[in-house]
Amino acid sequence: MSNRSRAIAVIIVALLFAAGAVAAWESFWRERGYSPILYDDRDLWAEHRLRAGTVDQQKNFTVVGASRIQLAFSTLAFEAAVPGWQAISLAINGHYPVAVLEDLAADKGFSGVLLVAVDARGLAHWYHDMSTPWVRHYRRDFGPQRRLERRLLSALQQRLVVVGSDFNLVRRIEGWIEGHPPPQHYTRLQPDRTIAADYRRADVPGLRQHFTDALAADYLKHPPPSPERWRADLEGIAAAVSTIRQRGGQVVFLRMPTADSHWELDQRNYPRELYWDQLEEATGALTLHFADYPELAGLELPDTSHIDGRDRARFTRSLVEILVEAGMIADPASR
Amino acid sequence: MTFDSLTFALFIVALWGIVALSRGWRLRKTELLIASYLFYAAWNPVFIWLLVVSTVVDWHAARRLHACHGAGQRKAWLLLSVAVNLGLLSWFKYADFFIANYNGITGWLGLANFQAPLIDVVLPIGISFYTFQTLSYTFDVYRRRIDPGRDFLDYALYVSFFPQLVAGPIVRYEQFAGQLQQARVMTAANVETGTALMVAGLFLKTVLADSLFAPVVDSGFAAAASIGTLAAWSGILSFSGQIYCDFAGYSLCAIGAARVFGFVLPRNFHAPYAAVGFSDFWRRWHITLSTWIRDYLYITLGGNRHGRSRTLGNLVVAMGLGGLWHGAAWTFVLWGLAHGLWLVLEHGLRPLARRATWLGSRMMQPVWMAVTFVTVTLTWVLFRAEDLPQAGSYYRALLTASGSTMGTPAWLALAAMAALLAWHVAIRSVEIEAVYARWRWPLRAIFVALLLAAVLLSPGENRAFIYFQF
Repeated sequence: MSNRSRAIAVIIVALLFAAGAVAAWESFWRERGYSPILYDDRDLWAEHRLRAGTVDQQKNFTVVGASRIQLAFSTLAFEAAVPGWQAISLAINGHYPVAVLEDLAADKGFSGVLLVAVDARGLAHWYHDMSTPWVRHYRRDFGPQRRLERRLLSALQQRLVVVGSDFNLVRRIEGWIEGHPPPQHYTRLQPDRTIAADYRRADVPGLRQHFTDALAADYLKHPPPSPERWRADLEGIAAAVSTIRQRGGQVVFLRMPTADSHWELDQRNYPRELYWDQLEEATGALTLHFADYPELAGLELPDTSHIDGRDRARFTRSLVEILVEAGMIADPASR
Repeated sequence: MTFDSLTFALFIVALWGIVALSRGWRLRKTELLIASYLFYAAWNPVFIWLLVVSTVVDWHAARRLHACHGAGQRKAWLLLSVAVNLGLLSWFKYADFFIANYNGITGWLGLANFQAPLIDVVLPIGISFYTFQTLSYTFDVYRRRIDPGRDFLDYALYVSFFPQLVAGPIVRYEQFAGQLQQARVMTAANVETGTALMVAGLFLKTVLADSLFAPVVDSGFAAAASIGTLAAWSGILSFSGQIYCDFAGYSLCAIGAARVFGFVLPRNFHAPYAAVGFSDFWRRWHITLSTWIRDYLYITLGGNRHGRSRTLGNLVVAMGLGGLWHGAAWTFVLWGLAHGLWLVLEHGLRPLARRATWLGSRMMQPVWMAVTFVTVTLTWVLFRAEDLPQAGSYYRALLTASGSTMGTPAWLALAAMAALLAWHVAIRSVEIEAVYARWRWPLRAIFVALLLAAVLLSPGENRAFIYFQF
C-alpha cells in the first residue's frame, strides 16, 4: 500500500466510522421514543427579525413578547384568517420585549402592525434591556454566514434527533451517571418560532407551583416601581410607538391571560387601574386587556400562565376578530 | 466563519476541490486570496475595508522605508504603519475603555458635565491578530531582518490567509514568504495530516472546552458571590482546561486547514501546563504572541540591555501591555501584570537556584511544574472574571474554607483536567505530529475516527471561540 493510499484509507475509514456512530446514536434514541425537534437560538430569532423589516409592510403582522404569546399565537392560523398577510413571531421565551419594540422602531424598514404582548411588570425599568442581547446579535453578528449556518442547522434539527443539545455525548454521560434520561419536552418549537405545548405530557401541578413560586420570588427581587415612576419610564416606549406610527405602522399592547395564583400575584403587585390602564394614554397605542374580552378570559391556562397547543388556533382567531374590530387589520370578509 | 460550523465544512471542501483542480500556482494563490476575503466577509462584509487598509498601508510603508536611506524618513514610514494599525485597533477595541476610564476620573473629580458618551462600536473580528501580523512585517523590514515582498498578491495572501486570519497563529512574513514562492503540493498525506489536526482541534473545542469544561466554569462564575470553596476550585481548574482547549483547539484547526493546502503554520501551543516555571510557560502558551511581544515590545523597550532593574521593569510593562491586548478591561491588564510579576520573581530566584543546585534537580521538576500550574490557574481568575469585584469574590471563595458540594459535571471536568495534565506531561518533550506520523495507518484511522465521532456527537453547546473577542 502506498503512502497516498494509506492517507486516503485513513480519511475514508474515519468518515465511515463517524457516520456509523452517528447512525447508531440516532437509532438508539429513536427506539426510545425520541423524535427530532427544532431548538431556538439567537440566530433563528435574527432570521425572523430580518423578515420583519423586509416583507411587504402593508400586510406585515409582527408579534413580540415572551413565552405566553409564543405558546398562544399561531402564524398559520393568523395567515388563514387574514389571507395575504404574513405573521412573524419575534417572541423570546422568558424575556420581556421592550428592547425589541425599540429596535423595530429604529428600523426604517418596519411599518407593519406590531403586537406587543406584555404585562405592566414587563414595562417596568427592571426588564427594559432583557431582550437586548438578541437585538445586539441581530445588529452586530448576524451576517451571511450565520444566516446560512442557521438554515443548515434547522434542516438537520428537523431531521435528526442527535443534532439536539439534549443528546450531546457529555450531557448523556452525566445523565447516565445521575440516572436522568434526556427530557421529553412537552413544548415543541415550530419553524416559525411559535411553540406548541401539550400539557397532557407535562407535570401540570409541578408547573403551576413552579410558575407561582418563580413569580413570587421575582416580585421580591424586583419590587414594582411606584405608578409615577412606572409611568415616567414609559417615555421611551411612547417615543418608539410614535416613531412606528409616523411611518404608517401600528402598535397594539396586549395583556395576555394569567389565572389563579398567578393573576392574584400580578394584581397585588401591579393593580390594573394604577398601571396597565395608564398605558394607552401614555403611549397613544391601542391596549387590549384579556379581562375585557370573554373569548380571551375564558381560555384554559393549565399552568396558570400559558395555553395548550390545541387552543392556539382558537386564540389566534379571537385575536384577529378583536384586531379587525379595533380597525388594526382590514376585515378579511369585506374584500 | 468559525471552524466548528457546518458552513466552514462546506467552504473548505469546496475550496479544496477548486484549488486542487486549478492549474498554475498563481491562479491557486488568487483563489486562496479571494476565498480568504470571502471567509472574512461572511461575518460582516463591511469590515473588509479594514483588512484592505491594513494590507495596503503596510505594503507601501515597508517598501518606502526599505528604499529610504535617511533615518528620519525611515522612522516616518514606520510611524505611519504603527499609527494606522494601532489607530484602527485603538478605535475599535479600546475607545470605550478609554472613555469609561475618563468618565470614571471626571466623575471622581466631581466634573459630571465633562463626561463623554460611550461609542459602543463593533469590534471587527480578528483585528488584534492581523494588525499584529502586518506590524511584524513592517518592523522586520525596518530592522532590515527581511526584504520587503515583491509581489502584492503574495503579501495580501500572507495577511489574509483564512486559516490564521481571525485568531492566529500570528505568522511572520519570513515563515510564509518562502511557501508562497514555490507551489505547495496538495498531497493525500497533507490532506490526511491536515484533517487529523482539524479533527483534533475540534475535539478540544467542542467536546472538552464547550461540552465538558464551559458549563462548570459558567455556573461557577455566575455564582461568584456565593460559591463554596470546592466548587470555586472546580470552576477555575475547569477554566484552565477550557481556555487551553478552546484556543489550542482553534490553533490546531488553523494549522490543519493550512496543511490541507500544503502550507505549514507555526506551532502555537506545546504542553503549557507541563511548564517548569513562567518563562517556560510563555514558551509553550500562545507561542506566536509571546514571541511577538518579546521581539517587538520587550526588545524595543530595551530588553535586558540596560541593567537588571530596567530588564525586570520591561518584563512587567511588556506583560501588562500583552494583557491589555487580550481585552479592553483592567482585569486583563492585571492578568498581564501578574504574569509579569511571576516572571520577575522567577528571575529574582535564579541566583538562589544556582547556589542550591538541588532546587534545579530533576526530582524537583514535578514540584515546580505543580507550582507553575497552580499559579497560572489562580491567575486565570482575573482573565475570566467580568470585572474586578467578581474577581475579588472568586478569590475569596478560593482562598477561604466554606462548605460546598460538586455535581457530576464538575467531577467529570476535574477528571478530564487531570487527564489533560497527564497528557501535557507525557508530550512535554515530544512533537505530537511526529508521533502521529509514526503510527501505522489503521491506528491513525481509529484515532481520527474516534475523535470525529465524539465531535459529531457533541452538538448544541457551541460557544464562540474565546479568542475571537480579542
